[in-house]
Amino acid sequence: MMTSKNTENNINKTSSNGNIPVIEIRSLKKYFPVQTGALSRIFSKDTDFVHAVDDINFSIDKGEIFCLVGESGCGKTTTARILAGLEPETSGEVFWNGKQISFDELKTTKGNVKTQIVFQNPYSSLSPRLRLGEAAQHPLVVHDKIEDKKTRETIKRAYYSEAGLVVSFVISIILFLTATIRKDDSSLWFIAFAFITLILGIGSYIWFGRIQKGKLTDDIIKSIFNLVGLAPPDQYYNKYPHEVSGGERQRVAIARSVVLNPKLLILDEPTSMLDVSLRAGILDLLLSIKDKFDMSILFITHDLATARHFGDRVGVMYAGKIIEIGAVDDLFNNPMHPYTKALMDAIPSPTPRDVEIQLPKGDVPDSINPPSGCRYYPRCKYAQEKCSSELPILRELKENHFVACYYPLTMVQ
Amino acid sequence: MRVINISDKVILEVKNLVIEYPMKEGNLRAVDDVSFSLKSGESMGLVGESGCGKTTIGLSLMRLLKGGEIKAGSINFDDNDVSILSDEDLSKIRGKKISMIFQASQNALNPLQKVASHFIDTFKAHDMWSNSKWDEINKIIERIEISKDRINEYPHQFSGGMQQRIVIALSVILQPTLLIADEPTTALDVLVQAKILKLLRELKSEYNLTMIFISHDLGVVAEITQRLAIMYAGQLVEIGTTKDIFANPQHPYTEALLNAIPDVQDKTKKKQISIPGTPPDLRFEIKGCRFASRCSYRKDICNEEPPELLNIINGKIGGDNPNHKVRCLKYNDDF
Repeated sequence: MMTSKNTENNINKTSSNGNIPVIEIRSLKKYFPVQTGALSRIFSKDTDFVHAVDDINFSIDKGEIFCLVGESGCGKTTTARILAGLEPETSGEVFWNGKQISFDELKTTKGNVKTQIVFQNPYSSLSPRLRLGEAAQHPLVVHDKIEDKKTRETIKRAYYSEAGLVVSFVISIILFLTATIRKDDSSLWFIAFAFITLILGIGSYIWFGRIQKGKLTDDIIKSIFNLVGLAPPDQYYNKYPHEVSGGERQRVAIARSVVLNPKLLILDEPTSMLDVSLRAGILDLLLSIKDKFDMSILFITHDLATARHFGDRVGVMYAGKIIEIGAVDDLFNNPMHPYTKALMDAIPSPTPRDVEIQLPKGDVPDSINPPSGCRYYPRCKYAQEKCSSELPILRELKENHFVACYYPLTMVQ
Repeated sequence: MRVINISDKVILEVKNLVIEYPMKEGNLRAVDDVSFSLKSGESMGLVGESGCGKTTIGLSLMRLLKGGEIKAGSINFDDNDVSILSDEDLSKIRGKKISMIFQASQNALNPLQKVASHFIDTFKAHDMWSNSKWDEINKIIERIEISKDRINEYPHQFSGGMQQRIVIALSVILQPTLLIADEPTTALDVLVQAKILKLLRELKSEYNLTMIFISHDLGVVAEITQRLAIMYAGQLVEIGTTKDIFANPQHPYTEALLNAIPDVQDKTKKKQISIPGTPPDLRFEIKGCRFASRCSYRKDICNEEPPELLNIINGKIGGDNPNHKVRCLKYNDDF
């Protein structure tokens, strides 16, 4: 059944079971202007653009795990950042539960939480100054969702005491300076006042910002800590990020991303910074909280093996384009795009093998002037003349399996 | 089939190596009583989680340890004991006879220097520079599939994979006997990684290199090594041929590591199992087996008696075949 209808609408409808998808992206584009020197900006009129994401379509069903895989620079992280509202789009349409919204509405603001994101590096995504409990609670504070009045007050006081500390520093420095400039009898008074201000500032910070805040715990956070495997939560609540391991940090980052109960959780390579021995644990955790919080997941990774074991559907990206989409088993058992096949072959296999693998020639194309026609044709060993001139669109070659290639592998073989 | 020439000549012999990092709370024993030897032309993988001491061993072979001290043991390379060699003699070996590719080695290239001058500096450091070396440089640049014309460009003009290939070329241009590769592909994409591995394999046979390949990725080491040493918390827990270890892992840690990596070719979708817990804190003395707290075969005795690294054959301890060794009490008769 080889159909070659225009699939732009098709692909969005066929979100594997006919339900209305949680999110649907249509012809999303993101071009970054290339920074050039001041002189060349004056003398040349056109700016170059990096085609980071170039006209992609996909949808994610309720409760589904959709993986975007590809090499670095293929645009997968840019896509994730746009969906998390961290990056403005160049053009494109987005549908949330079947209703068209603007990309701005994906941004997390007060009273509007659609998506949340977990970043790759848990060593830099957690503030070293926030205790783990505070870090996880922070979204609730920002969104005014703390129910308990006393907790709210304590957090507010701690916040003001920090500001007070800075103010008292500034005032006391001014007083000191005045004292040194005047050098008369009143200098002593100025110095005394400076000291008093400083002590008051530091004292209130220690009392409100440290001691009172240190006593704070939050039952919601504790139960979430339990869910993400940080048990017993009391032990973790007051620790600082540097006191726990990378795996535990990533669990805190996950806890923080689900407290606001997003409908779509975006995971940007959540396990690539972790030791192999910890990865499976984090993935299991993600599966269980996905069901508990009733979320869908967009999983960004360059690790095809993880995508195969963790995902439901997968989209393969190359140079800003999605070149193949399908259910994981379908796609990995029967890759149709030559690039997907090459990627799979290149993965070092845990079973030692004796034959040399065939690697695609050359490197990833220039994203400023991408090749005409198929982006992969300069490296493709099946490429024919048509590939260099016409851009292949995604066609549904098997049920729910879309490929953007004129000579897909099943036809070649 | 890949052809590998391994002679019987032992090039490197590490005996009972102990390395400690002095710390406020006491010494951290990063490497504890590690012994292994390498024959000429062999390539061995050193595998383990981060913090297990694999990079420390790699650095100690050239005595590049920062802050760490070799407390005991010897490193015999080519009839010299590297651990006690004078600085002058050491500089004759470093870079020339033993060469190293560092982790994130793209940072090893000087952004202010052209690629060519990196090569020239390498020769000059060992007083080997003459104009005739240009041929050698051009040859290796073409060998790593970079155009000769680009030799006067700066490192930032190359992609990550190209930079890594340049670093590899730099490390083999003096034709070292031993090459230590410390996670040379960790920061790279799969296709680039496959390319680098292929290049390393080919260079290894062209230059008849002996290689130590440090990695946490069992898939990568399977591609490039004939022998494997699995490390855990500063100790070797299993050592054997790559084929044996993958087909028949003997130590519970090796088994757990193999179970933790997903395989893209695996159609059955076998469940990945993570290893619970974390490695022990090496600042404090550990009684018994270091892996005990995370081990699924654990018995009470594991917390009491430290296991030794012993020969194993057909799942039984003993025999005089030193090709496969394991450190586990599981194989004791009374376990």
